[in-house]
Amino acid sequence: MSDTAATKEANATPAVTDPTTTPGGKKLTNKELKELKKQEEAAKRSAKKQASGISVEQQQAQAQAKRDKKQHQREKQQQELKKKETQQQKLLNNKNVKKTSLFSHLETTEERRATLLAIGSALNSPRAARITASGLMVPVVASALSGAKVYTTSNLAHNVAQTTAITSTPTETGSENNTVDLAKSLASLSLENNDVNVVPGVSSIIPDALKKSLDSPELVSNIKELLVNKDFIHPVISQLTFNLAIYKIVGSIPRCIAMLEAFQIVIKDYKTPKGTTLSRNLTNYLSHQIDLLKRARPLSVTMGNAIRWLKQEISHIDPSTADNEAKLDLVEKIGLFAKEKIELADQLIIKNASNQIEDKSTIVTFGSSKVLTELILHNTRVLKKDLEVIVVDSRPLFEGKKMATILRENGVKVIYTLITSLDTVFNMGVDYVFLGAHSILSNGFLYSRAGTAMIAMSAKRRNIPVLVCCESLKFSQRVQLDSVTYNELADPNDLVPIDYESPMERRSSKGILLKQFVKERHEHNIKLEKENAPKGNKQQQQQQQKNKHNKDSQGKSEDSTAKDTDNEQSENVLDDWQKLASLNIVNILYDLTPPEYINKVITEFGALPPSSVPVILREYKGSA
Amino acid sequence: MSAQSMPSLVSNNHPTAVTEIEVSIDSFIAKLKRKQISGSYIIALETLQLLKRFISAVRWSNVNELIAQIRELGNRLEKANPTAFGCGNVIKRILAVLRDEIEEDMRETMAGQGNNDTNNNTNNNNGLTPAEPLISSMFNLLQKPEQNSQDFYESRAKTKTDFRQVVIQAIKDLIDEIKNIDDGIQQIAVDLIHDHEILLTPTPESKTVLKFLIRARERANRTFTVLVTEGFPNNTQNAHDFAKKLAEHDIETIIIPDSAVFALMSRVGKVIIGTKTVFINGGSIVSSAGVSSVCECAREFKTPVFAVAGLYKLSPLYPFNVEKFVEFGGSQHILPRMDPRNRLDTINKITDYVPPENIDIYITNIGGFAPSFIYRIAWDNYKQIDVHLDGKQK
Repeated sequence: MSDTAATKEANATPAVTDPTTTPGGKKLTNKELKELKKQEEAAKRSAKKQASGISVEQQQAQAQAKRDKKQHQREKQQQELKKKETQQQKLLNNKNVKKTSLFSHLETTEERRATLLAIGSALNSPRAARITASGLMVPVVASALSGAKVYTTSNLAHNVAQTTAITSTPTETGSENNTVDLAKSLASLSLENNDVNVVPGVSSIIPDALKKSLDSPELVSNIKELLVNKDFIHPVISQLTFNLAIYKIVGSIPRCIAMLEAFQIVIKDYKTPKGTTLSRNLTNYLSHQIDLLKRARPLSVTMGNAIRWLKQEISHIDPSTADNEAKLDLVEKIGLFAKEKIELADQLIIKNASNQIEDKSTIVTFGSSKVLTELILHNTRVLKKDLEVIVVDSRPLFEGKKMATILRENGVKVIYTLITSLDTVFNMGVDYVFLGAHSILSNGFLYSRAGTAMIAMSAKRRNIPVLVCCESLKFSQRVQLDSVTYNELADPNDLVPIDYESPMERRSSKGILLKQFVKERHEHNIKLEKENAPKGNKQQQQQQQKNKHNKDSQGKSEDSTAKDTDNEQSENVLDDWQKLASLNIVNILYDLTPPEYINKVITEFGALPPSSVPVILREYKGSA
Repeated sequence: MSAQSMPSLVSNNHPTAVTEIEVSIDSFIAKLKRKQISGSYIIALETLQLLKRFISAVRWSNVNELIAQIRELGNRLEKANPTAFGCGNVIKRILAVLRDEIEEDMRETMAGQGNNDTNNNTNNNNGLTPAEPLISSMFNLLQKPEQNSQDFYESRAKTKTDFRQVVIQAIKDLIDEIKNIDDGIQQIAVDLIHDHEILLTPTPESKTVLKFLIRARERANRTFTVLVTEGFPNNTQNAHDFAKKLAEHDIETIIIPDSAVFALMSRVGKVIIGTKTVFINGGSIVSSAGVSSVCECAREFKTPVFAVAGLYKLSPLYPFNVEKFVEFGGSQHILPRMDPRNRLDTINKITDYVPPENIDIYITNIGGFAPSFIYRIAWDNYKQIDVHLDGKQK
């Protein structure tokens, strides 16, 4: 009997504790009824207990104790609930930067992109350029990625009044407050204003998730450091950085060449500040450029080696030489270096490797390699060998397609296939496997495009010789034992969009950020409406009108974007994969091939076993 | 084609019933040819349903004719799609049950005769020999004349046992077995995963693997990570669906491109593959390209590979010519429209053959077995005489 009363009490209490949520007379009467009933029951109980010999005081004391206990329990429960909520909140916050447990030590593309956006906006927009550290919240401004898109000030004035829900790190001094506001309004421009048309590919579309990845303190300090030195950064370098970041320039050799060319321009434009010499200051100046380059993608081994060489060269310059002379000398040396280490080396490698290829043989290659393409063309066109080439390729970069097309256009017999058909490929009477390299490590491991190791392994198991063509510029001092410890993570979104019916047709991930942004916007608007609902009548009306207006325009824009996306691609199963906490996509770029799978490394110094890499590094370091 | 291939005896007796069953057989064959039904589970079940109707419709004078007609049907289905092994497998199993029953029946009648007629001693001996498994002893092989049942039933039309009922019961049992296959597999397989293990599965289209992983998460409450390869280009949708389902069941799931398998294999604790068919040598066909390479990687890293397979996927065939069993798809999935002058040759594998040396264990609904033992399980369920349905019955 008492139990039922207690539960009833418990049922009734929430209504009492928060009366604001249940306005209206009807409910109140219900409550009253319940209370009346309770009182009645309590009276009955007390009568019963009295009959059984317990006094009224004792009863009251008992009841009090019970009530206290209940209250206590309730408080506890509420506390627990709150705890849970905060925990969930924390989890949610953590989720914004999605990282797999396996690769949490590596920098994700989101982080890289966020950094680049922050720096890019600071570098390329004159307005935002004045803002330093807290200018991180200004990733709105169009960057070099897509050509400038400048917002007019009239738009700005209209928007400055609007408050935004963006949190910023207030490290700004008073004198610069104005610019901060400006920055904020700039940031809000793309997120809040519907009149600004949303163009895919323009970097002003930034989903919240991306912005939140800027929250990690390390990243912010990194960016701050870069921004402090941003005046030193040469425009050629920032251009190159973005080209690298969007994979416009890929492959370790092309990246290295592009960097050397940029450095030539940088050195030409360099002016030694007063009170110091070129040989001392230029290295320092170049380090700033390199810091920015590192933000695009981790430096390739070739780039690292070239930079090391360049710094050495600079330090060798006699301080007494005139600046102009030294600069010209350096530029010339860089040109020579590129020619010697890459062009001439490639020619030697081709000459060397051609001796290994017999007439009428079948060759398997993986991905795309500049030197291998040239090697095969040399053998078929100059040496008139009858070769059949099987180009194995892999998702998501499909680099092999480029190589296959070039070879085919030059009349080489080409079979193009994907790595899933590897088993069949090796049943076709393959004579050699030729592989390109990103780098060869000091312990003989080959660090190359993901998938290389699998091909080398399969070939080795079938006793097919595996040869690697690699300039000595790619030799690295580093040692590494497996592919997980050090690697480069590419954008996981590259693996999401796929037309299941014809998988090769569309594979750009450009739409994904836009979609994410549209979705977030939509949610944000709904939230706003909800928040605004309980406010005053007048305000509400205004808001409603505004909302209506917003909705109209938004509806239009959304419709158009929806149509665009519908036309472009069908629904992908994984479109909102970021929302599933336990789902991850890993897109690693490189893997490590153990030396026992490699029969020969062909370099400009001749053909060697992979174990000889450290020897070359040691013996030829002076010249390298 | 169908009218010619059917025994004339049947078509004479019951034209209406026969035409009706003919129609459904033809439509099933058409579906098989066009690959409109896929997945060995569905194919096996549909074949059994068809066989059930066929048995009810068909007429025969003695049981040997029944066997001949079932073989005929099986042969037609196998020819329709040589890589849909499910059809052949279930029909061969039904045949095996039927043959066992015939032997039993024959022995009983013989024994009855023996009691009646004491003079018939020689025959009696033969009949009383217990039905040994086929390959248990050389002596029995010599002693038991195969022709016996044939001659025996040709001489008399009436038999003790109602074989139609026997076959239909066998079909029902087999359907039951196929439908409940997952439970048996899961119970064994759960014991093979430890907490916080990283698993890799290159066969995201396998329902058995999916159910097994979800069960391991929910019932056994293990936390583990599953790496799913994409299977580009033919299987990517399956992979995405699979990963999403796993993630929704709170299993840590990571999608990786096919090229990253080697890079991550050093972290993988076990590789789980679903199979399409298991051959008698312990090798298997899987319905996703690239699995053989994955298993090779696993072998290289000494990572255990276990295959999950229902008993009905066991095939009594031997893969002498693997290329015959592996399917290839069109080029449109690998190469987009191209300049006709510069066309490229391409290979698009749909299924893959994994040799027995790259698989460590098979988990079936009746237990786990090493690949080298699979032949034994096969001969428990199939008769040697029915391995090839196209040949003349001896």
